Amino acid sequence: MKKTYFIILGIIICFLAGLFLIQLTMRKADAETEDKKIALLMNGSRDDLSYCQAQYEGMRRYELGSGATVTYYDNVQPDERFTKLVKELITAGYGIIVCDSYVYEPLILELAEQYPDIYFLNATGTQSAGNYCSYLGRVYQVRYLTGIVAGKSTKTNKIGYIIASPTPETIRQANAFTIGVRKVNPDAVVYVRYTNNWNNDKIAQTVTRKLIKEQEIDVLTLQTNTIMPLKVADENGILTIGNNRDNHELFPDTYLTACVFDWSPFFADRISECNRNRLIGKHYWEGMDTGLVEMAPMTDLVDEGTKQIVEEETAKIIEGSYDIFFGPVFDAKGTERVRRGENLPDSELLTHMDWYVEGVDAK
Amino acid sequence: MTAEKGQGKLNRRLIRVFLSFGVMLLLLLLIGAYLYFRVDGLLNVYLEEQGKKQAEALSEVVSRQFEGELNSLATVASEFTTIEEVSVDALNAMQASDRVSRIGVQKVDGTPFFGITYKVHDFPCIKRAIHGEEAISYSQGKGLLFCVPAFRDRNVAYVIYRFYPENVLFDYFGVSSFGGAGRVCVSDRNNRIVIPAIRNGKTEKTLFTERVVVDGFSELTRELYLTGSAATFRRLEQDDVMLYAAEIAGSDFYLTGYVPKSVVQEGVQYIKMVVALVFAILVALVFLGGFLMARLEARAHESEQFRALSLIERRSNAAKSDFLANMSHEIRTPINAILGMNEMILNESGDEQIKVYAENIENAGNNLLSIINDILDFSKIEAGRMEILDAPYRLSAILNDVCSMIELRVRSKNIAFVTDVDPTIPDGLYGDGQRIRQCMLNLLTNAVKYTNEGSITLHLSGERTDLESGEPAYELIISVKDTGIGIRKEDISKLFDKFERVDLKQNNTIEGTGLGLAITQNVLHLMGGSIQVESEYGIGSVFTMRLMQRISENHPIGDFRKKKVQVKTAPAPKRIAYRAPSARILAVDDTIVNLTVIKGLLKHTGIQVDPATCGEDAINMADEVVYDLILMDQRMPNMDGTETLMHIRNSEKGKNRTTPAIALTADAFQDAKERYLEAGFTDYLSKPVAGAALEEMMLRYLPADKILPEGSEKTDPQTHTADREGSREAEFLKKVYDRIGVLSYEEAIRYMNDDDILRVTLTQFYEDILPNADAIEGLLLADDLENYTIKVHGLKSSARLVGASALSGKAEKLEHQGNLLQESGQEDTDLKNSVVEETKELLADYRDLHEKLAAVFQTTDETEEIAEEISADELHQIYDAILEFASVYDLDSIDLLMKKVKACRIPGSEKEKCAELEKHVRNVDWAEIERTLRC
Repeated sequence: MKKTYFIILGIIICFLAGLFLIQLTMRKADAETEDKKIALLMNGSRDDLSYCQAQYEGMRRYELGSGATVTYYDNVQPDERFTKLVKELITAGYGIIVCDSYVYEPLILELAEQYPDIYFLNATGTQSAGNYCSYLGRVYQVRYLTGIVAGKSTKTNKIGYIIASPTPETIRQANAFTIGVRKVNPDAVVYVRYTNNWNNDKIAQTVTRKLIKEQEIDVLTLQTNTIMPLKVADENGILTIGNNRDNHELFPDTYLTACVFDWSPFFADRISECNRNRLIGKHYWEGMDTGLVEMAPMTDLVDEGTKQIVEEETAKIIEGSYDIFFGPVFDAKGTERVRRGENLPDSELLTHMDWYVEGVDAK
Repeated sequence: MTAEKGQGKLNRRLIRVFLSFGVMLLLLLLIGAYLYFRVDGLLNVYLEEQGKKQAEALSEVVSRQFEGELNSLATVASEFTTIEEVSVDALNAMQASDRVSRIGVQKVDGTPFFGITYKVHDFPCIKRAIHGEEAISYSQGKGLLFCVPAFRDRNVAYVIYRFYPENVLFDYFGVSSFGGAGRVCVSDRNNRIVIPAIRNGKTEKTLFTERVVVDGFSELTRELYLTGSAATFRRLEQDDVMLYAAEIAGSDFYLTGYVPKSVVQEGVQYIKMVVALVFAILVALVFLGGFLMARLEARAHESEQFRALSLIERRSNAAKSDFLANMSHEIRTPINAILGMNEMILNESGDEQIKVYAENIENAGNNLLSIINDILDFSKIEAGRMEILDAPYRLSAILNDVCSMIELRVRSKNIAFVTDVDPTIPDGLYGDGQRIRQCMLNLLTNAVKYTNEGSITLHLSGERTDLESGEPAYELIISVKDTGIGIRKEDISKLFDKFERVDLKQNNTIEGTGLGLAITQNVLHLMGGSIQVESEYGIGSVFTMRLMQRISENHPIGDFRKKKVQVKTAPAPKRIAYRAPSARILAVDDTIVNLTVIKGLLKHTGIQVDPATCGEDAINMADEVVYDLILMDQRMPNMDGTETLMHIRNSEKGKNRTTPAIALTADAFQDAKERYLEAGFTDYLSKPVAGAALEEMMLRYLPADKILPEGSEKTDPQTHTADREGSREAEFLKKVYDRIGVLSYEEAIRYMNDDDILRVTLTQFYEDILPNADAIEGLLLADDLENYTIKVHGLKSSARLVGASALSGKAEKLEHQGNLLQESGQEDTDLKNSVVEETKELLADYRDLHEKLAAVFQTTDETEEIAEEISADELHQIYDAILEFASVYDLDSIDLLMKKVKACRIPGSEKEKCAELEKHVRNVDWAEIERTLRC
């Protein structure tokens, strides 16, 4: 009797074991929204008054508006320290890792593969994965508008433009700016000078001072992470146009406007997608039509006529019937790069712009 | 009681079977449910995979279509930018051939070039084309726009597009799935349906906007974005449907669709069916297994019940044969006493008339015995234990016996008894004479019973019919004819049934067991003979027996009556009075009383009796002394009589290898005797032992030279003293018995014949009570049933000897129960409990008897008043003498001395020692005797 029971029990156990061996690859069907914890990792300081601060403030606005939990990390080096920090964050339950630079992209791609349930967002990256989304702003559109302001404001027809280094991104922006300047002031020249360093104040100061000494510029803009060039310009009574962040309160006597990001709505959209597990892993190149990039309100130093022109141009850009590199566009050597009625495709703009337009003096 | 218990057991078993069955079923159901969900889940996953693949395939179709559109535009665009003018003609041609879609071209800045111009606001794809991408846009209410850039060199120069108005979208791009059973549509990221599904010829959008569906698709999104396709099951109103979605490559659209689950499951259901079938078979197998198990269980139970029943039957059979054996025992003992007395009369009386009377007593007694024997016989026949002897006998002797008995009977009735015996019949035959005699007697006594006038004729004839082997044989024909009441024809067949007495109304005054004819028929059958009946109701009957017997002595019988006279005139063998003081025998019995009785019975012969109370002692003693005879009780604890004898016979010292051994047994069956003879005994004696039989045994087996005729030695003065003291003893004993009440003097004296012996026996019995009771109690407690039964058996016989028949009866009952318990291997707890209970009762009575006897024995010392006091000196001299005798184990001398001491009044200071000594002497405990005397 007892023996029979044991045999039956054995059969049942084998049976159950067999059933369990057929593994189900059960899909995670969690459509519900959950508020994932967010970490923002920046490669500079959150109070740089520039790019990083714009990221920080954008996220901060989102955080305050949504009640989400965000933790911020400054000056994260793009090496194993970054990877280690991200892993720690994931272990601590963070679900969305937001970064602010293309320098992190190779590391992020590794991590994204390793942690398919964690979402990665990264500004200025150019690639994507199922759970990784990168994004850029079409800052050049705003540059064009600030260029109009500069062209209208210059008396000497000489405008300074301090750039960290020449890349398609910086060249594109400088070109768009110059197209704007020359739209309203065909005689003006934009003097582009390189610091070859994104953050060093001292170098930026030197380069700027040198430019001022060489050329009689009366408007200056920049594309570095330090705002030292603006400081120098302001000290010399030169009008300033900012970048990344609206710093008009710092330079009340010279500040005209700035190219700024409003990361907050973009973050809100992407994070919402992440929370609903609906993130589309792709590369975004958002223009003024989505509000990611915009021009800071023009100060009283800008006259009404100029503002009028800027508003008209803004409308055209947002609507899509005009874009900055519609022909005719000539390069600095006088070659017609884009004929009338043509446009530079994104592929050219994004990665192949290694030439300056007519009116740029780059050294 | 047992039946109820059996029922309870059955119920418990059934409950157990049902319970385990139920648990199994529950387990199976759980597994079944689990299996179902598991299979369902697996199939769903599988189906969802299939759904995903279907979605991918469909999206591929749509994607190809879209790609085709874009490619055709791109082809135009590539031509267009190189040869502008021709291209316009080509465009015109294209537009002309296509009535549904509209082709258009515009410059990058929005300037129209060909066809209708669309706004970037409505169709964002134009903006993307301006930026160099091919794109498709859907504008609700308007339609679908495919848009490609036309490059000149590396720059975008024109945007070329083709527009499909909303109402034709299904016709151009609609897809159907699952043979039309499912619905598919193409949506954009905002869940706006671009290409509708169609049902019954109408485009259908409603279902895809239902909340359940939208939620379902939302759920799919993540997987959709991760892997490009997804599928899930949802419950929609009454139907289960599978929702699926897939991205359409090269566009921002995705394909969504649903299909009724039943359609997807087509064929898959067979898998479920197969699983269900397999499971059903499994369940059925379990049922079958359970059923078989229950059957086996029931069968096991039945066989157990059967065993229980057969045990009961065996017990009742055993009880019956026990009863019969006991009854015969109880009745035979007094009859034997009567017959014994009668024998003495026959032996000693010289008066012929008295002898005739005595003979009649003998006949009647024997007749009575034969009735008892009838009953015993029948029980033997029933038990298949009837044995037929094959020994020479004399027919004439049988006939004389029979006739004398019948003549006695007939004498009281007015009927004639006629014998007609063929004188040529051989007198010496082989066979079982006793049985033939029995058969004849049965028929004749029946005839006497049922005949009131007329005659009874015993007719003997026959024929010489030698056997095939050539041995001389004779077929005896014995018929008994009466003129009695006869038997009705219809009753003849019932005649040989047991306990059957036909025609009861007329015969209600007739005594008898009704066993006679049945026994006769059976016995005859056993002997190879037959019996026939002829009868006429009211006139008479003839019973005829036929029987083959081998001839042992071919001497014709002649007139058998003459031979009877000869026998009668020859003096009956007298009971020989003898003495054998030089003979020494060993008596072995665990019951001391029995030993005492044997000693007492043999006292006047002067035979020296060495008592042993157990097998081990007997073996030791037999190693020391060469005995003339051994009397061995059968039932003893530890080692029974047979075993003891075996040890004695095989002993190395071999002093008693050939000594005649006589088994003492209460077993009344005949085969017992043979068993004992086989076991090496020389003969056997029934218990309780009768004096005459014992003496006869001695006479037969003691060496002839040790037997002296009575009177050849000078008469032992002790005998006279004993006689004188006898009468005093008798009075005293009667007084004792009167005072105690529960004992019967008459019964006791029947066994003892001698007051002196009785007194010794009773004293022994009294002293044994307490240790014996303790022993019985202890053995039962220790579950030593074998020795317990033996002890109780001992108590049975010793109690009977002293006349405590009630106690004996109880002990006997317990002995049977003890035997039964041993047989059943102690399993029967009911019986065990009853044994325990009844043992308590028995022991209470037993100990009560001790109290009563104690009261008597303590006050019976009145004899001392009369007796003269023995002086301490004298006593010590006697002690020394006893010590001396003890060293040479001369018990007789010690007995003599003790008797002398007892006859005197013992001084108070020595009383205790004397009593102790007496006890040890009675127990023949040499070590204790010595110890007592030395201290």
